[in-house]
Amino acid sequence: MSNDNAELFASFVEEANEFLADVENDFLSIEEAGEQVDKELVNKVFRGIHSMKGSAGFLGLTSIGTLAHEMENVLNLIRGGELVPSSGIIDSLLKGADVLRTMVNHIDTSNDVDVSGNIKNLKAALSGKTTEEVKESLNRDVDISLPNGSLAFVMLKEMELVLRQRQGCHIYVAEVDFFADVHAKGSTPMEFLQNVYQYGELIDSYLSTAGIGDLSSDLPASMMFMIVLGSKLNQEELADALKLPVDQVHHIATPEQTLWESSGPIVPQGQNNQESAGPETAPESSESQPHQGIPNTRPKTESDRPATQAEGAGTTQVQTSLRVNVKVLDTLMNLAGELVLGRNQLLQEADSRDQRGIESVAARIDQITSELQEAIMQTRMQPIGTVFNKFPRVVRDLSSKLGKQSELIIEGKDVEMDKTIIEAIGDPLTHLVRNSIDHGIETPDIRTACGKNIVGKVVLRAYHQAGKVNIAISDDGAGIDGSRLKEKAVEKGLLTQDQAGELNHRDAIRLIFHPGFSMAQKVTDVSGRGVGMDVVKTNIERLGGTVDIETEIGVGTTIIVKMPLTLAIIPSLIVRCGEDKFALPQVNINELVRIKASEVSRKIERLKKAEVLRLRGTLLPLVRLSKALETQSRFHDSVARELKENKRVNIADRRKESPADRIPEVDEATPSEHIDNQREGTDRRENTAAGALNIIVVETGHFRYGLIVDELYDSKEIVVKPLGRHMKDCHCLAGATILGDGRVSLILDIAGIAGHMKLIMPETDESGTDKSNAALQGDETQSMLIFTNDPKEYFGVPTEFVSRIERIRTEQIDSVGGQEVLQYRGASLPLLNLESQIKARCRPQMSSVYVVVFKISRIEVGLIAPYLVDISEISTNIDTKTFRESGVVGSTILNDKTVRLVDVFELAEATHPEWFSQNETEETKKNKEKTILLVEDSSFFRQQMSNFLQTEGYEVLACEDGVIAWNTLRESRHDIGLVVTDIEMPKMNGLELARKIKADPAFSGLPVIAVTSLAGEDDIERGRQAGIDDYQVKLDREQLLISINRHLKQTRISMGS
Amino acid sequence: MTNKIDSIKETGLEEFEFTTFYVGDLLMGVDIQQVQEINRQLDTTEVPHAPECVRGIVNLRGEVVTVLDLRVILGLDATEINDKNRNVIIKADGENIGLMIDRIADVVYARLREIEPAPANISGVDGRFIKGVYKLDSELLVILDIDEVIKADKREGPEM
Repeated sequence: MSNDNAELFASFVEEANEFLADVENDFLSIEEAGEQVDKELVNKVFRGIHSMKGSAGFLGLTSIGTLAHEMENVLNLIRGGELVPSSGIIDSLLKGADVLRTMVNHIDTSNDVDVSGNIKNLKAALSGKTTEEVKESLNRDVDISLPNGSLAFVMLKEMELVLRQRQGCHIYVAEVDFFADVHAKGSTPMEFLQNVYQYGELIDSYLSTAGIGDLSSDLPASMMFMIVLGSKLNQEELADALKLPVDQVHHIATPEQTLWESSGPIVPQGQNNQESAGPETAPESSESQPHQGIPNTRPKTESDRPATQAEGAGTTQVQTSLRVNVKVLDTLMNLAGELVLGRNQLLQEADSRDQRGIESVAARIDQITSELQEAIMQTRMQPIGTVFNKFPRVVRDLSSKLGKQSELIIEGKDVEMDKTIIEAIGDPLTHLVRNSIDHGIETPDIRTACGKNIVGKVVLRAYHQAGKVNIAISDDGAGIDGSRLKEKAVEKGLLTQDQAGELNHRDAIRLIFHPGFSMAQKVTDVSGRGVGMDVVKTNIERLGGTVDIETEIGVGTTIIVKMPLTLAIIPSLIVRCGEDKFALPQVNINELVRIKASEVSRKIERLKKAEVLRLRGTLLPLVRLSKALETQSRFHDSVARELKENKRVNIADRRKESPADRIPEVDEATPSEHIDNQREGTDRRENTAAGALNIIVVETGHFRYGLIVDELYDSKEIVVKPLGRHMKDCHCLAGATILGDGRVSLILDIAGIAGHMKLIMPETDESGTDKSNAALQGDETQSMLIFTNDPKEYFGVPTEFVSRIERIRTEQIDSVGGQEVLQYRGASLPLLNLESQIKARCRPQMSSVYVVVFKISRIEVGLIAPYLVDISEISTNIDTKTFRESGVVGSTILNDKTVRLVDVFELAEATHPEWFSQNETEETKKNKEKTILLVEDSSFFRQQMSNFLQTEGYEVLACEDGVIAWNTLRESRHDIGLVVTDIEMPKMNGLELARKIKADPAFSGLPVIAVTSLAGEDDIERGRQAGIDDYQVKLDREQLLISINRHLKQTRISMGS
Repeated sequence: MTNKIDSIKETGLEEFEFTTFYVGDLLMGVDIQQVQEINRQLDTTEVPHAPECVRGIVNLRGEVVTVLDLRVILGLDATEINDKNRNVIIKADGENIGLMIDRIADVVYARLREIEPAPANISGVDGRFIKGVYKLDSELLVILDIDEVIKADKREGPEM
C-alpha cells in the first residue's frame, strides 16, 4: 500500500510540476490577451489546475487542493467571460502557482502550508470584478444528495455547478471503488482520474475513509472515491467511459429540480459543521457490499482529510526521473541486441582465431558502440525551453517591481542540451536576465528621452555554433560604460589609475566579471551585492562553458554564454608528468609555449622565489605540475612531508610581501630555510638539466598561469568519471578518465592547482611595469616581431603587418629566375630575403627557417626570418639616420642589442615595383591635387608617413601637435583636402583637434583620419564621437592609402564636382 | 565490541560465509555478501594528494575504483607487490572500493554464535577495525569491520 502510494505521490509531483512549469507563461498570455480571452488557453490552464485539484483531493493534500480549487474558481470565471483578467488577478494567480509549486516540491509538509493568504487574495481579486449575482452564486453552498436520499456532497459552491450547466454539461456523482472498479480491472487510480478528465470535468472529490478499516487490517476492503463531475455525455455513455456500472453514476438534476437545494445562508467552514460531521463513520460498508454501500455523508471540510494524508505523506520520496522518447528507447534496445550479436560473433571468431573475421567483428562492434553512445546521450538531451520558460515571469515581475516596461523575446527553445547542463544553467541565466532588466533596460522616462521605444526589449536566444550551444541574452538598454567601470575599479582599489588607463574597452567591460564587482550603481534587492557576475562566470566555467560580453553605450548589451552540448565528454590535452599521464580540459588552455633549453635561463625569471615566465611583455606565474602534485614525495616519511608543508607556506608568505613592507624573516632561521635552499638547488638543476620546458598557459576565472609539464601528447575526447570518496579532498583533480590503453588517468583542476599552490596573480602592476622602459619614458610603443638573420644581427617588423608565420624546410624553397619562391598551399609564395636587399650578413645554412608572411597589395609575400626571437614592445623613439637605407627605416636598442627595423614595403617595392604601380588610377591622380595635413608628434612616424605619402605623390604638410596643426589649417593657403592625425600628442591631442575641426563650419567637411599604433574598440568609439572619420594603423600604408583615397573621393563628390 | 557481534547476529542468519585472505601473517575475513569480486589489477594509477592509505585507482570495466592498501590502514608497512597480491573489490554504499591484500585464502563458513568479540589489539592491528574473531582449526580468523576500514582515511590523511 505504502509503495503504491509513494508511486502515486511521485507521479502526482511529476505531473504537477510539468503543469506548473508551463502555467506561468499561460497566465502571462492570458493577461496579455485581456478581454480577447483565448478560450482554448484558459481551458487548458483550467483543466490543468483542475486535475491537480482532483489528484490532490484524492491524495489527501488539502492545502494544495484548497488553493487549486480557489484558482480554478477564478479561471472558471475567466473562461465563462464573467471576469476580465486584470493584472491584479493574474498576479494573484501567479502567486498561487508559486505556492502550489513550493507545496508540490515539499509535498510531505504541504498540508502545513498556510494558503489562506493566497485564497484571500484570489477572493479579493474576484470581488472587485464580478457582478453581485456571480458573487452570490459563488459563495452560495449547495449540498448534493444521491437518489436514495443520502447526502453525497455538501457545501459545493453553487457557481461551479451553474457554470458547468451553462456550458451544457450534466452533473453527475460517481462512486468509485478503487479496488473493485479500478485495481481489479488492471487500471491505476491515476489512470482512472485521467479518464475522468478526458470525458468530463471534476468538480469535487473525496476519498471515503469509511471502507478502509483500521490500521490493523492488512488491506482495506474497499476504497470509495466520490466524485462530482460535469460531462456532456449522458449517463450511460459516461458510465461506459469510466468503466463503471451504471448504477454507480448518478445524474444530478438541474438547479430547478429537487435533488439539490440551496443550503441557505453561507455556513462558515467552522466548528459547527466539523463537529457535526466529524464523528460520523460508515456503518457497514464492508467487502460484502462495496458497491451498494453508498458512502455515508461526509461534509467536505478540511478536517476530514488527515486520515489519508497521514498515510501517504510520511513515506513519500520524490525521485528525479526523466522522460525518454519511446523511439530513443527502441533504438537503444535495438543496439543492445546488436551488441549481443556482436559479442557472440566475437567469441566465435576469437575461438577460430581468424584474424580477418575478428577485424570485421571489431569494426562492427566499433560502430555499434558509437551508435549506442549517441543514443544514450540522446536520452539525456532536453530542450532548453524548460529553462527559458521561466523567464517571462521573471521579466514581468522584475519589470513591474522596478517600474520598467520590458518584453522578452525567446528564440531557440528547441535547442537541446544535456540534462545536467540544463539543470545547472538556470541560475546563472536567471542572474543574467535579471541584470538585463535591472541594469540594462532604462526606466520609461529615460527611454522616452533617448528616443527609444518605451518598452525595452530583452532577447534570449539559444543556437548551435561550432559544436556548442550559444545562449545570448541581449537587451536594448543603456549599455555598460567602460570608463565608469574603470573608475569604480580604481575606487574599489582593484586597479590603479594607470592600470585602468591601459585597459582597452573590452577588458574594461570584462571588469564586471571581477570578484567583488557589482554592476549595480546602487545595491538593490534585485541585483547582487557585489557577488554577481563573477559567480555567474565561475558557475558557467564550472560547467565547461564560457561567457563573454559585448556592449555599446546607449544601444544595449549582449552577453553570450557558450556551453558544451554535454558534460560527460570533454576534449582534453593529455600531458605527462613524472610517470603518469594527466588530462587537461581544453577549455582551460590558452596556449602552449615551448622554451628551448638554451633559452630557459633567459626567459624564466625568479620573482621572490616564484618562477615567472616573461611572455609577450607580461609576467606569467609558473607552476611545476610535479611540484603541485608532489608526485615523487608521496611515500616519503612523515618528517619529510612536514617539511614540505612548511616550504609551501613560506613561499606563499614571501610572495605576499611587497618590497616596501619587508618584515624581518624570523621564521626563516628555522631548518625549513635550509630545505628551501636545497630545493632551490634542485630547481636550478631542473632548469638546466631538464632541457626544453613545455608550458601550458591555462586560464580559469581570474587565474592565468603557466603549467610546466614533462611532455605533451595528443588532444583527446575523454569521458569524465568521478573519483571515489577517499579523494574528496584532492582539489587539484577534477575527476578521472580511462584512456585508450585502459589505464586510468586523472583530470587536472586548474583552479584547484592554483589554490593548492596558493598562487597569487601578479596583479597588473607587475605586468604593467614590465612594459619595457619605453612606456615609462612616456613614448609611444610599437609591437615588433624580433628576429635574426645572422645570429648577431637583430631585425624587427611591426606585428600589425604580419599575416602569419610559417615554418618551412629549406628544401621547399625554389629559386626561379633569381626569385626565391615557396611552393605553398598549391601556389607559389614569393620570398624576400634580407641579405640580397640590404646590408646584412647571409643567413647560415639551416634545414628549416621561419617565413613571416605579409600582404602587400593583396599579394602575399614571405620574408625569410631564420630565427624568431620574441615579440616586444619597443619605443618609437627611433634612430632614423644611422642605419637608414632602402628597406630599413631605422634602428632602436632592445636589451642592449641594436635592432634594425625592416620596412617590408620598401623591400618589396625594390624587388617588385610592378606590385605598387597598379594603385595609380585616374581617380587617385585627381586626389593628389589636394594637400594632406599630417599631425604626428613622434618624429619617426612623422617622417615615415610623410615620406611615404610624398612617394605616393601627395603634397604633405607635417605638424608636431594639434595646436600647430590647427594654426596651420587656419592660416594655410594650401588646399588641404584631408587630415591624418595621431591621437596621443602633447598640447592638443588628436581627439581635440578633430572636435575643433568638426565644430568649425569652415572645416566641418574635412575628413579626419586617425592613425594610431593601437586601436582598441574603446578608442575607436571615442574617436567616432569626436568626429574622426576613420581609424588606421600607423604603419599599414596600404590600408591608410585606401582610406585616404576613399575619403578624398567622397569629399570631391559631395562638393559637387 | 559485543555490540558489533550483535549487529551480525541481528541479521538472523545462522551461518556466514567469509572471503578470507592474509594481511601479513593475519588471516582476515570479509562477509562474502559484501565482496563484488577479486582481481589482480595491481597496476594502479597513483593519485596525488590522496590519503596515504589510497594505493591508487584502477579501471574496473569502465568504473574508476579506488584501491586502498589494507596494510597501511591496519598500520603496517605499505604493500610490496608480488604475484600473490590481489584486490578484493567491496561494495560499499553504492561505490566499489578495492582492498589490496597480500594473499587470498579460502571461503570460510562460520557459525554465528562461535564468533567471539575481538581483543583490543591483535598483532598490532587496532581493534576498531575488527568485528570479531573466529577460531578455525589451525588459526584465528579476524573478521574485518569494512565500514571502519573504508572510513579510515579521514584520520590517516596527510593533512594532519
